Amino acid sequence: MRVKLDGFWKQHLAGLPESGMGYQRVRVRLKSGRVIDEALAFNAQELELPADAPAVSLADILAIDLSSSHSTP
Amino acid sequence: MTIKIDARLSRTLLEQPETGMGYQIVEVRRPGAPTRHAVIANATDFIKVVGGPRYVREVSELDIRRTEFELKYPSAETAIRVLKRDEAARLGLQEARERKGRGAAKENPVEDSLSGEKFLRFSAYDDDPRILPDGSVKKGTYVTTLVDGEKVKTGTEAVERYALPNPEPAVHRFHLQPPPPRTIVVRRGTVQPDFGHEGGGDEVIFEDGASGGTYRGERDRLPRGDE
Repeated sequence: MRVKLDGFWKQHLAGLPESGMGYQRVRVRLKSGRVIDEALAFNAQELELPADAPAVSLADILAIDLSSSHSTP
Repeated sequence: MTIKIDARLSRTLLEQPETGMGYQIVEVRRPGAPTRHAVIANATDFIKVVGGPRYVREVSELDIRRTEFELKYPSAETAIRVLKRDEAARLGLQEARERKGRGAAKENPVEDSLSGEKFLRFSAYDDDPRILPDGSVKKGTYVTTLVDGEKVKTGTEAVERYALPNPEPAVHRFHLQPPPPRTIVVRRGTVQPDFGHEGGGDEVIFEDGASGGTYRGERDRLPRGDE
């Protein structure tokens, strides 16, 4: 499932380092308290959620952080 | 940029093995002149890269122009031979992706880019929020080297070579060059297999980003490669 991000989240993600060219591995925290660990952000513009994630809209998102699998020494 | 080399030298190279698919790393010798090194594509074209790291020793524009001259207008005494892989590696001429154990860029130490070095960034999107209106680039941005990126002919090839998770062909190619003589802090490595893709391309991280003027509007669009 893909979610198009708005300007706020684009700016937020563009300020974080990438995991590879044009993408970031991210963890999405929802307002419901649920955490989606294995998500991807493409070009700081779209979220790709894993197949088993619940349906999510922009309004459901509380936070997007780099996932623990993203690491730079 | 590629330059046709002298026909005699081409014929000599055609009789010698390739260093990798479609290219040869060569040594050019002429009595009384410094030994030069170059990467030749298809035994015919000198790959002319100013500031390209780890491909040839001569990295100044002047040296590259001299190498170009030698390859275009050799004397009767000019000799050319393909280096063996271990020779090229020992001399620091072999390209990154063929060095074993180089690993992902993020695992490697930081270093300075070369003055005037050029990079490419592939994207499925025609705009890029990591490149700001003044041409600066955000810290932590991944790119590839010019020489590596120029090998990619379609957006689908870019997805494979840079192991991109977005299956949409990365047809948009942004040209980046931190304004010389400035250098920037980078990490270099090889794209590791991921997302079902082979990887293998050069990857470079702009550790602290790059200053204004690094992107000056130069971009092009590749064929998708999946039609």
